[in-house]
Amino acid sequence: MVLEGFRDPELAKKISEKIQLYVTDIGEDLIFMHVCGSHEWTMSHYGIRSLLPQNIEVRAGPGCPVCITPGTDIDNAVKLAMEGKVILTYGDMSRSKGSNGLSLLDTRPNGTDIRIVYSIHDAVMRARKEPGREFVFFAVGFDTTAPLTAYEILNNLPNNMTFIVSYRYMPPLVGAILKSSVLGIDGVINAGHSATITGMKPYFPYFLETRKPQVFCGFEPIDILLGILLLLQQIKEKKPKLQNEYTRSVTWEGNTDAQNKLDKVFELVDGYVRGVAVIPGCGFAFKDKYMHLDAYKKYSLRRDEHNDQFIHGARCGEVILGLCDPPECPLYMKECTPHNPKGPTMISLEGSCRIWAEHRLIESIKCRSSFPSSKGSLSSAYSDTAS
Amino acid sequence: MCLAFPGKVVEVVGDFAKIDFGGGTTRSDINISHTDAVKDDYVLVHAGYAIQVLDLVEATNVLAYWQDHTQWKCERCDISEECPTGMLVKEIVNLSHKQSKGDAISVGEIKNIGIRGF
Repeated sequence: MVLEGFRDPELAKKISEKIQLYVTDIGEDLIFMHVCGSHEWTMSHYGIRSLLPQNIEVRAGPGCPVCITPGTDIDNAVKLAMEGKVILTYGDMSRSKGSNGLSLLDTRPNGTDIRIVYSIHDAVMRARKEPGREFVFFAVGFDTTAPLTAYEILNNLPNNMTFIVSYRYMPPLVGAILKSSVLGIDGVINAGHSATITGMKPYFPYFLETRKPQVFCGFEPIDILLGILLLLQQIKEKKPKLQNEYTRSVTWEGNTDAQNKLDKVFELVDGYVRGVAVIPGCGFAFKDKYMHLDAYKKYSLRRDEHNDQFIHGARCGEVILGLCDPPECPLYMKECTPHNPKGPTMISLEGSCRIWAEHRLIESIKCRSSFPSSKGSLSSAYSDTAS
Repeated sequence: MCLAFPGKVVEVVGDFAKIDFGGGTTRSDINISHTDAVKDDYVLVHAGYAIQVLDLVEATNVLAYWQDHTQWKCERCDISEECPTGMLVKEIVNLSHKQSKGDAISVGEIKNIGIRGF
């Protein structure tokens, strides 16, 4: 199959040599960020960081849907579960702990009914089977997952189903990362599958605003090396671009069919990204026509975002934002392990801590002496963008 | 949740399709209504739904382009021919080019390459 060519070690060697050459020409320290858990997995699994020269650093940004789901949404799901509703959600989400340290699975000894589903279709089938019970789907993810929910909502949903919508829209998040002066990112490797749905278009305003290099990148090792190479090429030629490496999937317009379905059901609102900040236009909410599906409205729940917190002593927020590597957290592989995870980044399969732990990475790869200190609250990272 | 897997469409029944993910893994409940996938297409599947048909021609082109464009050459002086020893070791190409321009090569430079016998 053609796609096997994207794991060709010979080509990888050639590309990494070329990267070395470009870096020598540029002669500066560079910091890139990717915003996808799958990118982090590929980077760790194939040891891509070890192929890169010393003065390039690729950091993991807020790209794991479980990690960025607000604790207050988890608390509300727990509350509904305790009231006897059936909560349907994805596997990792049921283990992620809310702001009071309680996850959905933790409530099972109290007799709650938590069901793990593979897809929203799976969830709809289960709700249809038991019309007498109330089902709440805990909907988390990025713009890749949201259209799937929109599709099921448009295709006669059972009456006994409501949603806690915690979807996040990627382009404003990337925009905030590019604009942040605290992170000081020189270029972004954009998430390929998210952009498959949205297209490259919504990223363009942020590109015009910041004029920083962006590359849409696939998920095979060659894809990522090429993404880094293209970023370096743009910096070397001093011509920042909105470039597409993942041409086999990402287009300028994106999947318009999915976008239309999304627009029919959801509208963009301000969204709280856990560990980061409230970012304008980053969250999804139901349009008025579908407001009856919102669990927040139906069960009169409250969003209590300013009380959101991680477990005491952990640095989950900084790991999510890419301000520190997992081994710099005092709990990493001591109190917090894949077998007994404490924070969302260790719970989720796409979280940085979990990926680093599974690949036995116990040391920070790069020294961050040149990195600006992360004093003060994390929200200050985006204070310049919020105004 | 950018997690998505490429797979081949084996059979289409209405909105659903049977997808072969390789390694003996197939699923027959994949919803392909967001795409216009037909039999034998490769699709990206995310949480039970196909989100895009993969463009294999593009994939081949990208690979071919980079196979060509990563052949090593001395970028500073645009030397394009391979080095006389037939090896694509960049230090050697650099040095042989320097030599051809009549520049002096120090012993240290040669030693740095690590050629056996020097």
